[in-house]
Amino acid sequence: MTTISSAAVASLLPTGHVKKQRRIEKVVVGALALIASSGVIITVGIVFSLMQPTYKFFTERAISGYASDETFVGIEESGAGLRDSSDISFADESLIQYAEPVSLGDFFGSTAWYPQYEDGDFGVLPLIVGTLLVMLTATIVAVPAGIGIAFFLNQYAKERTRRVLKPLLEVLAGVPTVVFGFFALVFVGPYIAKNIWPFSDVGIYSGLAAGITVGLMILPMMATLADDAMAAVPNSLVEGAFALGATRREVCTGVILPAGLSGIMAAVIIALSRAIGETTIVLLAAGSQAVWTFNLGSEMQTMASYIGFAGIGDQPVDSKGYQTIFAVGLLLFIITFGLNMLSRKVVKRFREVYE
Amino acid sequence: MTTPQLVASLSDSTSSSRRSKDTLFLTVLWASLLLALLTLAALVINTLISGASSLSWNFITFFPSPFPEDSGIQSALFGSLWVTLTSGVISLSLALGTAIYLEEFTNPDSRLQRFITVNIQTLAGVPSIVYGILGLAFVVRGPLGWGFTVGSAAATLTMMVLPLMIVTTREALKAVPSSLREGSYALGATRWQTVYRQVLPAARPGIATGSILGVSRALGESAPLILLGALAYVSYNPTGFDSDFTVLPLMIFKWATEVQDEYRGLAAAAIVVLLLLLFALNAVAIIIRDRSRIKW
Amino acid sequence: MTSFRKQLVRGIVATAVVASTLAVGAPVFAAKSGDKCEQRDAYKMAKVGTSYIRCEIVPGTSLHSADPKKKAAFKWKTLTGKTAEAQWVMSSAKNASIRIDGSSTVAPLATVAAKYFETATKSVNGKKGVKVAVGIAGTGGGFEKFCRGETDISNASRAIKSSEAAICAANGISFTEIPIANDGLALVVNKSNPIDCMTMAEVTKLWKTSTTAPTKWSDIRSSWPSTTIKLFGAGTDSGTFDAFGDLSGAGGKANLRKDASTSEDDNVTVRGVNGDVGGVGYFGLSYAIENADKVKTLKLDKGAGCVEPTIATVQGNTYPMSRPLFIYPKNSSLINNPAVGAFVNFFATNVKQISDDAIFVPLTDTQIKALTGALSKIAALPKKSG
Repeated sequence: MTTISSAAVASLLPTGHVKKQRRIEKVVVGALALIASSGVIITVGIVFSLMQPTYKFFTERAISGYASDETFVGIEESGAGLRDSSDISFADESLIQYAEPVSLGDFFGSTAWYPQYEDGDFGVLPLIVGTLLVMLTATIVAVPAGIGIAFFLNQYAKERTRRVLKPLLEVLAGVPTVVFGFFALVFVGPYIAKNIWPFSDVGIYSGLAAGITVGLMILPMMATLADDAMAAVPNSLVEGAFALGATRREVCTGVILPAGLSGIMAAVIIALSRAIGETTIVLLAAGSQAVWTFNLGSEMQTMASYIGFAGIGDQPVDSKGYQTIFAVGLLLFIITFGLNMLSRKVVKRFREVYE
Repeated sequence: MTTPQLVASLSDSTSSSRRSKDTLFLTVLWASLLLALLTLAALVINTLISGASSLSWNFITFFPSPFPEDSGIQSALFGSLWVTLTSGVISLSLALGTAIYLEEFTNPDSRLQRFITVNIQTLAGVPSIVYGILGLAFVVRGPLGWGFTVGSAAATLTMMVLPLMIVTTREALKAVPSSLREGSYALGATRWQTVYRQVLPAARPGIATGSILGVSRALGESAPLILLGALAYVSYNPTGFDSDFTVLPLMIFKWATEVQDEYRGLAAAAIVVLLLLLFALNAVAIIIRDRSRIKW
Repeated sequence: MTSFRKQLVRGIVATAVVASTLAVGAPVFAAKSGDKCEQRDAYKMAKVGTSYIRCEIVPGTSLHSADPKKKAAFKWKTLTGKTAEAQWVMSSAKNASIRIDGSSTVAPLATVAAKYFETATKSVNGKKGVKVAVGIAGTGGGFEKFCRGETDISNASRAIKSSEAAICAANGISFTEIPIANDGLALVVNKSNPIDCMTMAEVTKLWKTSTTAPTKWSDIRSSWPSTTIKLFGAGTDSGTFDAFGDLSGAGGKANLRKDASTSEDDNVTVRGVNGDVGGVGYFGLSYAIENADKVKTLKLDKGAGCVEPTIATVQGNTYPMSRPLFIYPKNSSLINNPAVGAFVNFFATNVKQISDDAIFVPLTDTQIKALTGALSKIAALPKKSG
């Protein structure tokens, strides 16, 4: 950006005008800088909003309920006498029950996740395993197929075919997750997941159905990113291989794949982190119980779907159950943040320099 | 395959095994392609079959009702309109400001630029449900305390869409050639004058396409709004920013979880409407992009 | 302006015109008593001269009758006497919004009432009808919001606890308890399950937390199949969960087994039990009746023989797991927002038909007396004018 010194310009124009412009410019730049900081503010907001209740989760007691032997108000009692706020006697302070703060050992070590019960269990392992299982299934579905589509677009498709396929992929990528969730519920679950799992009976809710559908959802993204990575491979390498007599397959596996590896790996990691954070599909298709299992055909919950599930049912504010939303949310944020960092490191490390 | 292996295989004269590997490979590629295309086809066909019978003008003008026969999506449509337009406008303003600041007023490769860029990339990678938690903690409850209202939803979606908007507006600004800027400076304009009078108008199609992308993302989003309590039965259009609301993706979610078969048809029909809206938005974006292809 | 921009502007203007006609269009009608009307017009009111007509269901027909001769038909009917004026006044409430939240068991009932009320007020006030939103945060969650002042009415499938009332009092929220319907907790199993009837002792054994909790149906009664049990329960914040803790004989919700798939949404329970051969779950009777094609309702035996949950057995309390359902309007809403009072009155005076339409067990006569008492208490509250 070259600038002519404003003094030179100033000598050509009335001074007052230039001064005014400079003042406006200062104000504008200041305002813009403030706006630009909104991004940073949001990051800080996210971390802070997640950290405070998480801290409370691990260090403070929370009210978990009230012990009482109030009689059950049945049909007869409800007709017997009218009760309003002045009639109902108030609870005794001594009846308040507390839930102890959760220890890190329990959180990461226990395999029982029943946070919404009064004497709850707060072992997050079932959620982590559930997340891993769904993510792995999604990866198996999306990564090979995505790279395959990218190879096809890159080396095998004519320009006309590319012009039709790319928009189709974009359309698939733009389909909202709730639509995929519905698809999982009415199609993938009953017809596909039920029939292809050989290890156990598959019910209507399964990690398998959710995983397959999440994989289908990230497939177009994987294909597009891999295609971009492959397009970045210098043409000279590709043409050189063809000149040596390689077939298209050999060019793909022998030249493009190794040369574009950094971009492809970054694409895989980005697709993975999208799969980990997917909520709606898993919420609709994998059920609402955090089962401790390694069986993909069983019902399960992931970290993200648990947060959605807990959000629908209103937990008493500041109860342990409510705080789990933030604790699990923080865990999820840390994991996706880590993956993000990883993808960037991978690109830097594996990038082959050609020039 | 390493290069020596590749070269070695090229001089391998058993061409038939090479060719059969080639065919196998191509088959795998076709299978991958088919997977994507069949998924798209299955989605569309499944939805159309379940939903076609419920689609009608009534479906769009009626409100949700406990009786499936006269349920419609009007409140969800208007709710979506309010929420996505508001978040689109606000996030576009913020994104423009950020992008202009980064592109025009800071030095590339400065630490500030890199810091903000990394920040935005991180935000773009955060799962949408975490934005829901942010909204729940800060906007619905917490310091703002707006409750489960249109305003809260708009604020949350703004935060979610902002990183994407920033990236696309920056690209749009980057695409404006520097010769335009330099010519403006040569004529004695200040930086802000250049931006305001030359760069922004030139970047307008890119910005428009970017904002349409952001709006369609907000339109289809369901996860953060689940946390914002929008699963209620709301049978009226929003009356203001402090009003209860529902949005189209959540209407679909709610109906999808109902067990009676009539609701499945309603969910599918709502999906058709949502997909048509998204398709229309994308078509507009493509038209804008194509129509304003200026030759530099 | 370029021609493209002109087209775009025209397009936007056209869409705006179409949208506004949609929003504004209110039908003008001229019906009279005896004319037919549609189900979606139910509870619409109109003034004909000095009398009032309302679109009502023809007596003897029902929305849920299996008998095609009794299929619901609707006609305009002249309302007579004081009720006519009262209903008209209730329906004149305008331009306000009411927030209801709470039990997902009561929600379908409240939603039907809300729909009818909206239809009524819209017919009298045009587009300025009352707006009602109904949430499903669960009985406990509903009370929480209610005691923070966030909602106008709380739906509950159990009576409010004194601890919750204490929180309300601490926040200055006073309320009136109104029994609105009854419910039987139906215990449902998969359609292929051969079991027909369970004793209450067996129900307790199935659901109570214990080291020897049964994992197969044959653990409970050896003659039963040896399929694995899969439990589906109500959300832990729901009144249904609470009530089931008491009614199942487990001695309170703290003693219920934790290895159950829970959900605030009863649809998830229906789907779960329907999809798993060994599935068992519980929810309100209306869900059981509505989904009779998907799940099988068990008879329960408290010692006097197997009793099936029906309207009669629930009202008569012979079905072991019967319970009342409540709504709790906030007194300050009743005072400051006339629409809330109008809605509660509308709900209460038309509760029999609403219960029938939503498939809920109607109130017993003693409960109706309590209901009337509540209404007069409400009427006695100091009202804001207008």
